[in-house]
Amino acid sequence: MSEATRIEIGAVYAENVRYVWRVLAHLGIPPSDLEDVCHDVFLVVQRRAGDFAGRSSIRTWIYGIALRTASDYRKRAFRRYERSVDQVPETLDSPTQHEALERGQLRDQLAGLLDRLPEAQREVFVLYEVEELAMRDVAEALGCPLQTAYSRLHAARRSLLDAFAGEGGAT
Amino acid sequence: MSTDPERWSSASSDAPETMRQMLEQARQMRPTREESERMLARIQASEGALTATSIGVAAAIAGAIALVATGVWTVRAADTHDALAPEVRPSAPLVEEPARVTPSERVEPAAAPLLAREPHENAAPQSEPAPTAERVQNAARPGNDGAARGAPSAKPSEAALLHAARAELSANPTRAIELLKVHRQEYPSGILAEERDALLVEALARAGKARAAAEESEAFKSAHPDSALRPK
Repeated sequence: MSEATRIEIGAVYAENVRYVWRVLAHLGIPPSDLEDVCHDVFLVVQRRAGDFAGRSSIRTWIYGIALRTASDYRKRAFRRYERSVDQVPETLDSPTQHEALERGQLRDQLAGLLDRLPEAQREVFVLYEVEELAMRDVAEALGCPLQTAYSRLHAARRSLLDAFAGEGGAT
Repeated sequence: MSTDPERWSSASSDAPETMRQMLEQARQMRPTREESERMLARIQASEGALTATSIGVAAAIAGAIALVATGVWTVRAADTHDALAPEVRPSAPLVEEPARVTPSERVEPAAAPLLAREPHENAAPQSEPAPTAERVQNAARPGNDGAARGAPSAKPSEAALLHAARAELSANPTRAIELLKVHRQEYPSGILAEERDALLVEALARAGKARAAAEESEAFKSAHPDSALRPK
């Protein structure tokens, strides 16, 4: 094989670790397991380096691996974890408390909303709205037709808005 | 893409303001420096272990070779030793490296050069300190015995020990085993324990210690049931 097919795992890691970390977190990997799952993603990247065909950008390719790793994780972890999706505090008393918790609260609230989405919709939504990939790349990472990705995004947005309104979350 | 809908994070989108804030917050998420460094150290330490991902198979192959091909192994092992770096020849026939697990798709040929790299060469800026790794690695090289086997003044880091063991894996698996046992003694439940245990199976298999390799392999499977390093 040629030099060109080589992938420098150290460089690939440095460039992509924060994207992988972020996408895993928003796909529902709990904080306690983020490090392990993120590590697993890069092991697969390393192992599959020869499969990277250059059809997409390497970042898109890595997103695809992250989605599959997260999906495998959730299947394995299904019985081990019981996560509440209703842990968002209803009210907050003091303004300082509010400030201190706002960041965490928003994060929990988003996690709670995303947890209600079917996996396929969640993946599209996270890649498009958080990772800000172009829809073409979202479809590439998922290995689905572009039209499918569009309709999943549409469905995800609709359910999120409904859930959001139902929660009285507009504050 | 011009056909992509407007993102919710965009100020002019019709998403609720709180939703926009949540997405904004979501984009800030990243690993801490410590988390990032730990993961990189583990990934680099795994490079060697990945050459024998099918841990059970490694032990089985080592056993089979011990039974039927002892002569071949002796001769070929000498060849391999002379070559010093068999990994740089990924297309080499299996017989040159009997204990190596390449028949499956787990280590594709194209991935081999990547696996053969020295970890500190491709370390990202935030990697663990290379000098330590290098010192231990040099100390562990077979050619450097005189000076090297002397006790290092400071306790080597977890990652340095594993790098050194990995460097010895093909040419001197017995030395690799020693280093891994030092790791096990010094860092019994260290952050790299999983990689160490996987490497140990590989090193034992390469050293022809099939029974010990099989035992370690079993222990590995029960200690790390969800490991990405275990055979699927």
